[in-house]
Parts: sequence; structure tokens; C-alpha cells
Amino acid sequence: MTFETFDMPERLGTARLNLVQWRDNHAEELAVLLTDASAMRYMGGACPPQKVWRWMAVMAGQWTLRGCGLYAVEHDGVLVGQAGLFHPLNWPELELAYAVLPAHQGRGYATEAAGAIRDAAAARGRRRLVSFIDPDNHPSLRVAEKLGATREGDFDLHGVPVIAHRHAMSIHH
Amino acid sequence: MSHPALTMPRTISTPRLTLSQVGRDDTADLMALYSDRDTARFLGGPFGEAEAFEVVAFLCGHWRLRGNGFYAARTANGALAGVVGLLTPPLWPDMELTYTLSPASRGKGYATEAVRAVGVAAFDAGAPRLVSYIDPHNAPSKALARRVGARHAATILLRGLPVCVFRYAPAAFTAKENAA
Repeated sequence: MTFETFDMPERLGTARLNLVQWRDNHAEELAVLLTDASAMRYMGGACPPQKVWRWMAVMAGQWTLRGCGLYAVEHDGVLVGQAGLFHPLNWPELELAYAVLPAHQGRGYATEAAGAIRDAAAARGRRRLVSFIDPDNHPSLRVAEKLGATREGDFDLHGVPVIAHRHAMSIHH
Repeated sequence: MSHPALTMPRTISTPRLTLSQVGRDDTADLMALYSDRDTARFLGGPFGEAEAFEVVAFLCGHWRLRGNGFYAARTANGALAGVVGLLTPPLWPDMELTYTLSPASRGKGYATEAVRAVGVAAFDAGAPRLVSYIDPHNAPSKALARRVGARHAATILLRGLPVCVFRYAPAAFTAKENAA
């Protein structure tokens, strides 16, 4: 079988953040996000604590299968979120996805991380990236706006109504 | 529960098989394996396509998080005999030696050969203990564990369900016989 692959660097740095590969000891901090029903209400709901490590392994494994994936986003050595290129097998295309831990929201981390990922992808020849955002997820919609994405329209993502935001893939931002 | 760091070799050779760290090129074969109703019965399957892809991602990601994990065991002509390896999620009391055999490969002793090789490599790499957590109804799996020298040590609850704990002793892996 064939599936899309796209090579991204294993690490990225921004002004304030380090985007790195997942490590065992990220699990405890990641659980703070994934088990939070409110924080996860636009991302498929809270994950039971015993499934957090498995999810981390799945995110890490996408890097092996596709050459790209979600990064662990760190600030001063502390996990503040997850962001990167997300592509389960039944996704229509590679998605630029981002989520910040509740305690670290409101500091522009999502915009900073997602922008760097988009630019790194563009520099490597990527011409198409989309973000699928719940219509009620206003903070995420604002991030997409700040990134200069264009609202492309409504989309049914396996029964979940979302809005597709098309990113501008120029290396000049 | 934190497991000790254990770095395993990326490839292991046995008389009839090559065991290689699972990777991108194994995806099609692994998805076929985990979509098979019989095979996936005790693994929470059978899995649809997208779920099976996610299982393959998990198998690859385990290596990235732990430095050890699952091998694709292939015969000399490249056919997948099965998936054998170490499973060490935080919830597991001990490091688990797990094995999933391709339907076409059953009855040839490949599983015994592969499981023994991974067990030896794990103890050589410093594994303090090695077990298999086997569904009480999975008779073939228990038989295989016994053939490789494991003993039924206990029955515990894992993720809320009873499993038989088969414990491997390093000495049991030095047995010379290769027959199933």
C-alpha cells in the first residue's frame, strides 16, 4: 500500500520554544492536557489516563511511518503543548494541528509553533496544509487567522463538523 | 510504573528468520495481520484500516519512546512470519514479551524460534524480569509460552481484565532444541 510521506526535521526552534520528539517523561505533562474534558472538548473529548502513553507512542510512530508528525512543544524544558503535521490514515490530507496545555494558553505559543512548522514545511516544498477547526473553538480559529489562513468552508471530518482553514504556504511571512 | 531503560538491537537473526525493528516498509504486511479476525481476536481487534494503521504507528512509536519494542519476523523469502517483541507501557507491572503469528506461518515453529531469540536478547540487554500476559482463553499462546520455558506464575487484573502471568527464566532460554 502507499501512503503519503513528507520529511520534516526532528527538531525545530523558535524564539521561545523547542519543538522536539516525544519522550517517555512527557507523558505526565501531556496527560494534563489530554485528560482535561474542557480543554479537549474540540479535540474528540478527554482521553482516559491509561491511554495517554499509547497516544504518545502513536504520535511518535507517525514520524517513522510518514517522516513527519506532532512535536512535543517545550518552553524552558517544560511541555506546553503539541503541534505538527497530523495525518491518520483516514484524514483527507496532512493537517497542521496545534493544542496548548490550559496553564500555558494565552501566550501566543500555538501561533509561534504552528507558524514555524508551516514555514519549515513550505521551505521543504510543501504547497498544501489545512487545519480542521471546530466552529466553536474560537481560540484555535484566532490562531488560524493570525497565521494568515483562509477559511475554506465547512467540512465533515468523519461525522464531526469542522471548518477547513487553508494555510498560505509562502516562505516569506 | 517506570520500566528500566533497555536498549535492544535493531535486528536479530535466528536459524530461519530475520527479526527487524518494525518500520515503514512493514506497514502493508502488519495492517493485513491486524485486520485478520482470528489473529486480532485477543488484541482488541479485528481492526479497520485506519485503526490498523494506528496500531502500526504504535508499534513504531514504542521504539522511539523506549529504545525497545517490536520486530517483524521474516523468513528467508521475505514473508512475514509474525510480530514479536517487547511491550512496556507504564501500566504494565513487568516488561512483556509478546508475539502475534501470521496465519500462514502457524505450525512451523517460527514463533518459538522468534520468541526465544527476543527473550535471550532482552535478558542479555539487562531485562530484570520478563513475562507474557496471556488471556486465560488463549490456549495456543499459553502453549507457546510453555514451550519457550515460561511458567504460569499468577493471574492478575490488567486493564480490568484477568490475565495469566507467564514468567520467563533466563536459564530456560539456553535450551538447545528448536523444534516447536
